[in-house]
Amino acid sequence: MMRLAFASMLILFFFVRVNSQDRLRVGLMPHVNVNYKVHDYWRLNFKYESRQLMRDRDAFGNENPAFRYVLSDFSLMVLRKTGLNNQVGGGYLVRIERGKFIHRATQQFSLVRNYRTFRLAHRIVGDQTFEMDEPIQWRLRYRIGFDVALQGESADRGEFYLKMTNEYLNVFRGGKYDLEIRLVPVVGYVVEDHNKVEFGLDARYDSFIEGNARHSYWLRLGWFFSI
Amino acid sequence: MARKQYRNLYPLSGCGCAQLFFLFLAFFLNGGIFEPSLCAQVKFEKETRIKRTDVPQSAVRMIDLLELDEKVRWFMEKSENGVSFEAKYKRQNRLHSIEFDSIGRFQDAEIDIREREVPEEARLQIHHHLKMEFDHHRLRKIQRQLTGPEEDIRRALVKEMIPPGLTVRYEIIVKGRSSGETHLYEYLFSDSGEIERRARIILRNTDHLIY
Repeated sequence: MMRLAFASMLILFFFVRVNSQDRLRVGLMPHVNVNYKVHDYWRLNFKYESRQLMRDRDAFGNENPAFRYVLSDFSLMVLRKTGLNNQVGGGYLVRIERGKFIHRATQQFSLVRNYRTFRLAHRIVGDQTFEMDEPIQWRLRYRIGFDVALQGESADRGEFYLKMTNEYLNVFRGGKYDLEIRLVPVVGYVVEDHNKVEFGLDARYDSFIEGNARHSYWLRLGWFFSI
Repeated sequence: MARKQYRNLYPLSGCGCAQLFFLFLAFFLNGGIFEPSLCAQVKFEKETRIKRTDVPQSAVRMIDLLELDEKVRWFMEKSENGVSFEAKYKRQNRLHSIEFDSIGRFQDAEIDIREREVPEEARLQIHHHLKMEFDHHRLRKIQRQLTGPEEDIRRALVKEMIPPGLTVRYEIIVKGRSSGETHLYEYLFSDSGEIERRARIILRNTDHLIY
């Protein structure tokens, strides 16, 4: 466990190095995730996520006004279980940002493997973002993540767990390509098996292929609830 | 009367290069071979890691008598049936779990084994039963369960041989598909491959890993 935590911190250390010409954003990212089991095989997932900036520095070192609301996301997905531990789904997201509506269609496949002391999850997502006066943005994403109990071999009611995800987002827009890398280490608490809260960091690194890289650090506070 | 003989506790111990290669391949292809345990999913109980000093003395004494070089981890389980204690360690690359009741009396010993280590007669019988119950099935995890006098169990674990007097059972996690539905089950088979217990495993929620 200690080795794992040390390795995670090491990765994070390299990840968080920010050069003076890099853009930097620091803020809050609360989210609520509600799942509804329609049938043994069908599920609905509703997600609300919001972002508030606390620090925003551009490539010239200029600091923009401090605390600022950025956006709200509302998404709904329909998922079908295709095996014991895997499911496919599709959904739609509406983002409200600077008074504008941005639309996104999402397709997803996920797979969870169970090991004795941890669970490993793979997720592949394709999405298309539609925005007024902008070419369609296509993204192909792969995320790998695990959770491990901080007490015992699995996190039971009233216990904590560590979750870490690492995601690679290939972004195509108007003939240009960008890669975004995300690393999300969080600590979760199991209220009930179907009711969990998480607190941690969402570190994102993008625009480093062309132009000034952007680092975003969001303090993540999440609630997962299944009905 | 047929004379019972000692059986090797690890008939297939050791792991050749070819096996290692296939395990490596299976891990990356997610083929399901490299899935050492699914115990985490059979959550009828709450399991907490505890210190050796919090374990009843008689349980600690039995483990000490095994004179293990391996690291022993202690767990306390709380379930509807009360409190129990479990010592876990790895030997010959297999997980050993020794279970004790709330006052430290020995209950049983479970050792992870491979399918080929189940005697052929029992293995055929197990598959026969599973074929009757499912359209398709796959064994995901097998544990050899030993019960009997504590002294005999201890001798079996030290000498790595199963003496004739011990009761051997097989606790098997099975992925089974019937009528188009796939679920995980925990079976307890007798030494001859007869079903003694069957329970469907309730998988823990994974929403926080997917979304």
